[in-house]
Amino acid sequence: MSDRNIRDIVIVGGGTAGWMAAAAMARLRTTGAKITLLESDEIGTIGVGEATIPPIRAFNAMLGLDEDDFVAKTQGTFKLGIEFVDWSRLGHRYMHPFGRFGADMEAVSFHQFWLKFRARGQAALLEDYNLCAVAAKLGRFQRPVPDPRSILSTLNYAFHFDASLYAAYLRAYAEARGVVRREGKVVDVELRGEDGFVAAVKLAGDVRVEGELFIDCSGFRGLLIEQALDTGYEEWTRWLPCDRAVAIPSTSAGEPLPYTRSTALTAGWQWRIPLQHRTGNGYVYSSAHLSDDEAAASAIANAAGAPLAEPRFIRFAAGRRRKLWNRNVVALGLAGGFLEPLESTSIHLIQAGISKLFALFPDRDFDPVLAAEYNRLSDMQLEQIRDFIILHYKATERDDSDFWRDCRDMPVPESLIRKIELFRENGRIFRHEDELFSEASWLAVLLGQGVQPRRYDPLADTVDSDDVRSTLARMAPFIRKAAEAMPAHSDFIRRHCAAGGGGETAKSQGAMA
Amino acid sequence: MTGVDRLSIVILGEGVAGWAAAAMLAGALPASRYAICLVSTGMPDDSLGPFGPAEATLPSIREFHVRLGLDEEALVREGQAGYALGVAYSGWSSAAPTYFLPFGDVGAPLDTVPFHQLAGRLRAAGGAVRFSDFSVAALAAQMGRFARPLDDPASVLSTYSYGLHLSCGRYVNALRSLALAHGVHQYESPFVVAKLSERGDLAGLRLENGETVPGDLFIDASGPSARLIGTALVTGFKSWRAWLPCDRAVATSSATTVPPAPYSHIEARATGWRRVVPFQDGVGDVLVFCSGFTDAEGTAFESGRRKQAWTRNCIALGAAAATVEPLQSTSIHLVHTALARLLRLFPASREHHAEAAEFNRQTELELDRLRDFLILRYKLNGRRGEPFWDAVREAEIPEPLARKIALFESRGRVPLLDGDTFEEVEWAALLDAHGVRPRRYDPRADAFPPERIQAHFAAVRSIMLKAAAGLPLHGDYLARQKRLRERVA
Repeated sequence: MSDRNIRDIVIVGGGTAGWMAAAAMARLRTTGAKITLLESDEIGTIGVGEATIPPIRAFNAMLGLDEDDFVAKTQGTFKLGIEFVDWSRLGHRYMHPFGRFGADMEAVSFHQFWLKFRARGQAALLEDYNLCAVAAKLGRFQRPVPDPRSILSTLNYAFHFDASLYAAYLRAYAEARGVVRREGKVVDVELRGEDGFVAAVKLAGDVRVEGELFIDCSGFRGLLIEQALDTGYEEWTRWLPCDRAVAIPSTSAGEPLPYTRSTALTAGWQWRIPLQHRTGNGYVYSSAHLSDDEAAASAIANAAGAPLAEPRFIRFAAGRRRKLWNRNVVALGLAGGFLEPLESTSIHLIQAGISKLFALFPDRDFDPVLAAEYNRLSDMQLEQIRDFIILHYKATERDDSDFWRDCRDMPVPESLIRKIELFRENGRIFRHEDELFSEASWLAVLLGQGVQPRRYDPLADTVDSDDVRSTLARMAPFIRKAAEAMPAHSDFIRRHCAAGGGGETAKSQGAMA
Repeated sequence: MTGVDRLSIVILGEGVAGWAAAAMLAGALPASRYAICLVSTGMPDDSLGPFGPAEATLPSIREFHVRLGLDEEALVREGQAGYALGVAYSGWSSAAPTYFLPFGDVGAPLDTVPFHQLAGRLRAAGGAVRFSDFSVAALAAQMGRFARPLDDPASVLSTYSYGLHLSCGRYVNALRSLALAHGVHQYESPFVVAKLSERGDLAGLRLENGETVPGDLFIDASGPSARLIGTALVTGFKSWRAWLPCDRAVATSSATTVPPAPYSHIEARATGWRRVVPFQDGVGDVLVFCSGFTDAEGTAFESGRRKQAWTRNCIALGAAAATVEPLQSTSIHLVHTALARLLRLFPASREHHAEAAEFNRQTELELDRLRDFLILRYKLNGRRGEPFWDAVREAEIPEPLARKIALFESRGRVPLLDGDTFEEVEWAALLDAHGVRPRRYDPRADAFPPERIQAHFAAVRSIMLKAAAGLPLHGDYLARQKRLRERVA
């Protein structure tokens, strides 16, 4: 059996996706596999993914990274959630925090009791029952404690970091473990005659690199998956009309916040991602509704501080490659598709692709069953995330611009309609097939975007009302007290993971969330 | 939030499904908002299908009983029930004349490499491995021994689970007492016909004495005849006959004084199969076969499911929702999962379109995935030369099942889908018993020489054998529970 093992893995493209793949694949060195990463200094990388979600900690742990060291070396900060400003209507804001809301009682979800008593004016804001949300608003941070009896065990977190520094960090990791980086620009891809598999890629200067498994991390172009294999691209622009972004790094105003902020603007939204040395800003917009110049002016006007570089434009079309694994090529990152980083899923999708590839790792026979299963799982996951992102646009009361009116009136996928209707009826949420976003996430965004349940779950009436009322009354102040006792985010960073020199910071590119 | 008024729930059918619904809903729903009553069909209980007076269950029944507040020991004692460690299957596979599917773990990993991957390595090196030799539940079942598992995860006696063998009539009694104690009202006069409202919903049930029982929500637990969802509301039926062609059943029961075996037995026959479920003072016996291949007589049925288990204001339960051959001990399990699902989606008002849609989506997934699991056993049967078995072996199978088999053959993995009742290890055990072998095992298993794996297997087996042999005989265990009770009383 082992004589059919893959011996030669070629990763095409550096950047976040390429180096994440390289770092993860490095462990296959023990089976004797050779891992080569091809990267060209001529081609700039798009640092998609400065803001992340909690599963990245599992990826870092799998690699055995020291978290404090990694945060320090990537100018990183901690993230407890995302604040959405002006999304449901102008002047409104809500938090989509990590971690759970309150505590379930008698197998009935906490928010059902909240709905019941909120209607009677006997409950605080939903966010006041979530420690991550409360701590985020107070600018506090610490890591969760393991003891499940402590409220501090309900904390959950991710990171903001400079994606190009993250790639560099993983490059050092991968190279130390035997991954070979080769400099050079891919000029041609050679296919095998008998089955159309990729046999080799050719670099400028007549260098030929053979491989058995190719991982395409070449970005939007999809050098292998699209240009060589003509896999095809399915666009989702009818639901996600934003097709451009303009990114601009700026100085920070004050200490870094422990959360990402997303502000809805006239024709899209602007991210604000706090790093230790600066703030990442960028406007994701629809070119049909806004000119590039207007977008850049708006991005600068809404930045956290003074611009540190020229605005940089990125064009994209929301959607996905028709097959993420085609023949002996697996596409990761932008080569596989694009979903705007509204919920910070870009790096997660890379990571999820890598872990699926490990679970279904082929041998040289490339059993087609494996690619079929990989593609089925990937399609499902992308569609689930797509629906969650569409929800932010669809469920809005804004009608102050053509863009928002168009979003509000657009037809959305049937799968999303069902979720919204079910929630509107009784506040119920069902998670499908290992869905990435939990009940708490859907709850935060549905309510935050103004989808109001007509009724609460009747099972909430089986628990004694006085008990629930007093639990609700005690819980919010208890959570607030716990949050107030946490260290300030900036103090936590200074104590554990402050960036070293900072001399290299000016070089780092403004990157997307 | 709109105003709240009290909804009336009417259950049709006084069998296992109907009384389980009554007990569960009355225990879980706030009495201030719901009134619950039950109407009988006036017929013998076929609420789980025409498969007889005894049922074998999955371990999941324990959780349901905890939720219901039903005392399991009392149920076993007074209901003359038995404990179940799994199911023995004979005559199904050419790879194994008899195989046992236990409730609980099989084997133990070596340095995080799963047992079945280690087995793959041993087999590649020419060794033979039978999974059920490495299961406490299977070993104890063979010895006729039983005791409840321990909670201590350090003990090998925590690695198995158990279901129950129930005599249905007595089980109904236990559920009925519970439901009546929760305030469920039972009408004496049997059901005659359903009345519809102007918009086509169910409005009430007319009884033999002329009385009409009005309701807001109706539960159809009337068995395969589905007198509300089928007859009155004319919801269509999706047949599974193309894959599961058995369509006749003959159910009997007989008294016995022999201590019951802690497992049920399902034997494949020329045109179908026979199941024996032992309980304390008897055995339930059912023959299931295909009328196209024999002249034998029996109660007719058709495998399949209702197109929408929740139609208008009616929710079907048990055989009114789906007729599923009891090859996997799922009949009662399906009633429980449907009730749990209903409670998660219980309507707070007379408008419940969104809830019904979600209920139907989940129900459909659960039933179709279970259907796939049942088909697997027919598809992979080893009875060559018998027309019935040759026909089912040749039949096309649903795509999700084909995918599961293909991925298992390739990598030894089974992709689970939403709605799957059985875990990956259970799929793997069944595929293995039918002789399907993955082409590749996990390369991590190569880290160990075959001798090391053999030694690990021998050690696991010896610990398990010793533990199983230390358990009391099933009959003694049951008798001891009765004696203890008498002493307390």
